[in-house]
Amino acid sequence: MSTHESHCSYCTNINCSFKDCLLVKCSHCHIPLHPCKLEEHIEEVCRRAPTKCTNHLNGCPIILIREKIAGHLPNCVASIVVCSRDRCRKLNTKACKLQLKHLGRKNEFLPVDEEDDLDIQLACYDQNLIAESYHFSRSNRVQQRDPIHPAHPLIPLRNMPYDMTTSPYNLDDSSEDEQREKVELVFSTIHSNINFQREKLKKSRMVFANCYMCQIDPSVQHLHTLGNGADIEKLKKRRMTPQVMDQFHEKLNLKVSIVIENAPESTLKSENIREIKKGGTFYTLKCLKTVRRSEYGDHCLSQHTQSIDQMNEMILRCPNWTRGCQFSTHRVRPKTGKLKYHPRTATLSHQPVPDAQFVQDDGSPSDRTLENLPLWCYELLAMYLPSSSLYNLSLSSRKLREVVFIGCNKRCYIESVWHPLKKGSWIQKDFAWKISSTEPPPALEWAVPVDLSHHISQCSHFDGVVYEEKLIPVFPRNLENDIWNGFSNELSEKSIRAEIQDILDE
Amino acid sequence: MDADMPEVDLELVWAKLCPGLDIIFRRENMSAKYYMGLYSTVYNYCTNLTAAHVPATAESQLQNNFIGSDLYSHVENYVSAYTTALCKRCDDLDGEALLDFYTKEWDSYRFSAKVLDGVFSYLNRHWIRREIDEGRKERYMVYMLSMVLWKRDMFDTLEHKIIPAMLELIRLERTGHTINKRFISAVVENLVELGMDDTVSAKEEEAKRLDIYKNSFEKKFIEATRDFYTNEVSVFHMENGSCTDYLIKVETRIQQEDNRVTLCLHSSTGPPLSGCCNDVMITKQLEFIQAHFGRLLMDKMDDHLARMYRMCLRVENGLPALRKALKEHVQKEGLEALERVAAEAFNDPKLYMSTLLEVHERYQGLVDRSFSKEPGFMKSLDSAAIEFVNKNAVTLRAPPQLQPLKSSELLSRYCDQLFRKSAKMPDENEMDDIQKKVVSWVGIWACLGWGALLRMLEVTIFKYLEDKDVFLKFYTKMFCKRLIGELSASDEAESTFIQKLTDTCGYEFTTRLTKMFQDIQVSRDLTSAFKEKSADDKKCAEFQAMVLSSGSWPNFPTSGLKLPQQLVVTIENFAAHYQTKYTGRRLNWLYSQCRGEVTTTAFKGKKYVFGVTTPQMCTLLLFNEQTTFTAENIMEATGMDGKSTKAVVGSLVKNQVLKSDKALEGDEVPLNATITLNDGYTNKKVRVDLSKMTMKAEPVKETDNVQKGLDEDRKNMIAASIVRIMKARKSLTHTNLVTEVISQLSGRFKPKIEMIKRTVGSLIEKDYLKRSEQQRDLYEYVA
Amino acid sequence: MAAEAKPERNIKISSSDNETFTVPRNVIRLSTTINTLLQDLGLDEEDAVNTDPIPVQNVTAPILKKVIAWCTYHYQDATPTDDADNREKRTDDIASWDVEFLKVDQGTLFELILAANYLDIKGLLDVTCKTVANMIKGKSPEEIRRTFNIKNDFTPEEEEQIRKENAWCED
Repeated sequence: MSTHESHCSYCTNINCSFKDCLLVKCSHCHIPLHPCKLEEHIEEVCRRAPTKCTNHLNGCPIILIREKIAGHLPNCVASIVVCSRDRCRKLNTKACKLQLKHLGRKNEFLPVDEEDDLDIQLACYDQNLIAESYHFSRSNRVQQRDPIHPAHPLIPLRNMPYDMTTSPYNLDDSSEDEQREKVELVFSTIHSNINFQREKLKKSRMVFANCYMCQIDPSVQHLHTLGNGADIEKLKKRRMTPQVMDQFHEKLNLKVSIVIENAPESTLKSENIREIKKGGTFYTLKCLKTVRRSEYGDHCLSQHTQSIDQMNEMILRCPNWTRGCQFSTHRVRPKTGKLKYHPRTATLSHQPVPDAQFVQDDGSPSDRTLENLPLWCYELLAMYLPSSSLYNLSLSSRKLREVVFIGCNKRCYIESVWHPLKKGSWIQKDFAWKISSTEPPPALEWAVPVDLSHHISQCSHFDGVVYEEKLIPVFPRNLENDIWNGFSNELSEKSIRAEIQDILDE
Repeated sequence: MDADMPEVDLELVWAKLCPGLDIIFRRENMSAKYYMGLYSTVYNYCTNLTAAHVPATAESQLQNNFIGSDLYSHVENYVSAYTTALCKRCDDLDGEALLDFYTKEWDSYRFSAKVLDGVFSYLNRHWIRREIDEGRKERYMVYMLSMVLWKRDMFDTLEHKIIPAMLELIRLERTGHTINKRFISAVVENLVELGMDDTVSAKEEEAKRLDIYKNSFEKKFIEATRDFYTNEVSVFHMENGSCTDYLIKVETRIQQEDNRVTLCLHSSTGPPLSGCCNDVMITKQLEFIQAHFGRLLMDKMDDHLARMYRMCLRVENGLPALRKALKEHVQKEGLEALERVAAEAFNDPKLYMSTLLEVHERYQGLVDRSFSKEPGFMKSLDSAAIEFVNKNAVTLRAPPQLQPLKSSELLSRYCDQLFRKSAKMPDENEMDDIQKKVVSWVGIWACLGWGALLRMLEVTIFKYLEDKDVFLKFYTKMFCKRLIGELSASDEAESTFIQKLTDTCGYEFTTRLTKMFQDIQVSRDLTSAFKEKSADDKKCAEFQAMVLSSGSWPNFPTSGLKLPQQLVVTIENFAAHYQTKYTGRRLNWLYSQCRGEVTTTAFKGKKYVFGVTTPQMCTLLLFNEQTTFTAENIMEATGMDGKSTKAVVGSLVKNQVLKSDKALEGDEVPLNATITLNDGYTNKKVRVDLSKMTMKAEPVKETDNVQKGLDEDRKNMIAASIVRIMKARKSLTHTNLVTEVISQLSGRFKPKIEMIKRTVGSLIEKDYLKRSEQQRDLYEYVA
Repeated sequence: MAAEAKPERNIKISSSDNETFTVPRNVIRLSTTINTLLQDLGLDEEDAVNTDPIPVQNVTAPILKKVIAWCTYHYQDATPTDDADNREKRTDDIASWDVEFLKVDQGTLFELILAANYLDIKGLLDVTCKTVANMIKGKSPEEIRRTFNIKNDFTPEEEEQIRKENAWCED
């Protein structure tokens, strides 16, 4: 009925007496309205009507009255954020890259020892990640490059570390470096014709192998620069001062530098042309941790800003560290307890009570343990624990895992699980409950590092250069004699002639 | 201790709890042990969920925690069953018995609910708290739950029986029966507490709490009250009761109602209840009440008046009519009173004053006591008084142009009378003695009429005088005479009076008086200083000088006078002394006002002391040389002018000190008469005052003089105030100006509009003001 | 400490294994449960004589003794306000006396938590939970197992899978 619609869709009169559509009252919020609008009102508008959470497509199962949703959203379990903070690592020497590749192939990883200083632990962890990335085929890696990360893709690589199905390293797929060095190897191993064409193609392409723009950004339109100082022959003949890795890294077997570079996330790493040209490379490792939105601030503070970004302050090294001095002190540290790195979850965790151990008492009055407490107890304890502790608890035993995920359900988050379809697309199949591993930053205190100056005065790695003062002859000895003799000869001749003249004149 | 409790079934738990609940609701004594047992059962049930009993899915965990909801519903059912059973038991009860039962049960129920709350406190703390936080309705703490259930089951069903029973009880009480107030107050408490069943925030609680009470009870109660009293009033009218009885009845009823509110009902009922009573009993009967007001006034029934006042106070618009009636009545009374004494009072200030005071005092007392000094009534009294003080039978008797002055004149004469010394009144020194013996100054003053004087000033009659400046004029004159003649009975009294005048009318009003008074004081000091200085100088006669500053004092005629030798020296010395003290001032001797004493043994050897004016003195001293003079001689000798000589000599002749051979013309002696000393002068007293004669003639003329002087003064004052106003306002319309002037001068007198207009005209001529071009009646100030 | 104006009333409490303790009234006021009981049963008046001790069924004697010791030290604490916010609570503000007091074995500590909840003593509950939380914070799963004597009942494959996915599978 057009009159009906034309009236009702604009009518907001609470005393409307339109006979065709008598006013009714919404059962939730009691306002009078036309019944033709009632359905839409309840579904979309009514403040008191129960409705699904705004995040329901992301998995939040709650149904609340609309008024309360705003208050619910900050704590919604489906409200999650993926942290995009990253850190960068440089290689110590050019040779390290190859070494890393070898390590990756062989699945040799450095142990992350909790007795070490934090920066060493982090460096080891990062190195392992980078090495692992070399485990994958080159095509994989190349595929994942992007303009911001032109040389080496972002670590952790996609499909890493779950995807173990890729074939191990194929000798045929190798980067330019190896290619240059193995040029002869290729030639010498050609046996079959099948490979011949391939090799020919490769050779022809090899001419452009030195084009640095191809290295930087192959998709950019450019003219190949050939012979631009990067001639293979020249390269081979060039005298390379062998880069020596400093003592410190040598001792620890670290191929990546312990110093974390901090480039802003959106810089094009390709701007660092010099580095890449000289065969160096820059690795970017992203956090990529999923945390709840309400935890995000604390996560950034404790995991990035107040720890990794301040690593210089937390671990203050002796200036002779490159020569191998292992001394370290701090300018800032947590007020109580210490910071620990958990490589399993890649979380920097604060342990407040250093050696909290229970008093061992075999005649204990009760056999209550952490595993057989009533549920309310766990709920209460969970209010005092950050999510990293809950995560660790959930890994301790089955029961505790249940407790965390079901009893402390409000602390977990829910995430969609995507399944790949055959054709290369993905669909969202179901939701998974997970728990994040992050915590609020501990209270820090700053102090003057007095012991550093003490140490410097007695550091054994001090490689001082002592200057001596010595007399050094300017000329070689025989020339000196010649000059002297010549001079004295001339002098004597003149005096004799002078004598004669005197006598003559007499 | 066993960590895992065996799985506890709700039924088992309930089986344990039920007997406990029975005991609670039967209000039997419970031991601590049993209580803890119950508490522990609840606790164990609620906390029993160990990790072994985790619900199957996380979703269900998120949305609902079922542990507790079952227990909660069990509790709810139990209490509900209890209340319904209770309700059934009182099906057949009614009236007072019902109330009795209800209140008893309510008390015990409340107690039981509290204990129940304690037993289930764990449930309260956790599960129910959580439910409420999540906004679920119909979940309450256990105590609240009991209240809600009571309301739902007991109260709602019994409401229609309980409320009427209560109202019936109240009605019985009103008709004089005693009832058990406990029933009512208990039910009221119940209603208030039931109102707290909504879990609203603390802010709203106060208002919401009384909702049930108000809706169920208060409304009906007020209705019933209204009916009851309307009924009572109509019954009363049918019986034709008197107004006074009615008032008494109303008062008693109102008192009763107030008591009822304090004792039984909730305090918030107070205002609506009294509003209703007032409305029914007073407002509707207002005309009836007020009709009798006039009669009550006439009958002088103060208590009843007070009561009526209180009644009308409670109602709006009760008082204006009363005020008006009072004003009219007082005015009438005042006029009548003065009517009665009009004839005598015309010349007798004292009578006049006392009548005025009497009338005023009576009504002042009435206002104070019965109307508790209510400002509106004070105002009516004031306005009535103003009317009859200024325009009454006495004043009407005066000639028309003098009418406005009459009151003030009488007043000032009264003052004068009081302040003068008289034979009856002891002078200041003697007063001191009396004081030491007797009571207090106030008492003495009261009996002498000074109390009346002060009273008069403090509040009343002086205030009502419209023409205060008239009073001032008269008073100034009389005051100056008193001062010069040293006639004032008490200096202190004078100064107190002046002080009071200053307080009432402002400083400006009394500057002259103060100055005059000061002058006298200064003169005394001066004289004593002079006396000390010249103590050894035998030539100086005993004297006292009064130095008057010429601005403050009225003008006196000066006449030349040749002083006798004895006086000259003294005067010259004094003049010299004065010059040393105050250089640059000129002394003008007013011989006509001076007085002195002359001792004589001239008459039959008897010593007489004559109090004489200086001219008289000079005249008499002349007779030291010879006994006969002609008036002309005297004139020459004394250097006075003719008129004065005639008057002086005439007065002496009248006193029989001197003899004249010619008859006196009026009071004066013809110039060519021969004057001789009267040898045969006798007088019983030793001290004779000869100076009085000269003074008498003046009062009659005074009033005329005063009037003229008054007009002049008033014109000046109006002009001054107009200029002042215009200077401040710069421009003003005619009407506004007039209003301003009147208000400014109201402290002194009431200016006539004619006069103001004339003054404005004169100011315009003098270029102080000008008429503005745009508006005809707008005046502008000319700088 | 100034003497109380009221004379000290002593309340008798008995544990689940029938050991009786006598506590002053103002000390036991920290326990809301016992407070409510005394008020509800009218045992709070001056002249009420309670000869029977109040049985505390869920708490054994040694634990009850510890609880009373804590209350005796803390009886003058102001009653803590109802902290309704559900955010994470801080754990770094435990008084040193309490730290020493709570250096006990695991069983006792957990029993103290339970007793504090039963007797509704907010302060004790708070401080015990904080202590346990401090013991968990910062520890890896292995360390947690060591501290709390927990047996690792995951198979290695399960553990690997959990590590990879970290998801809670509901079947």
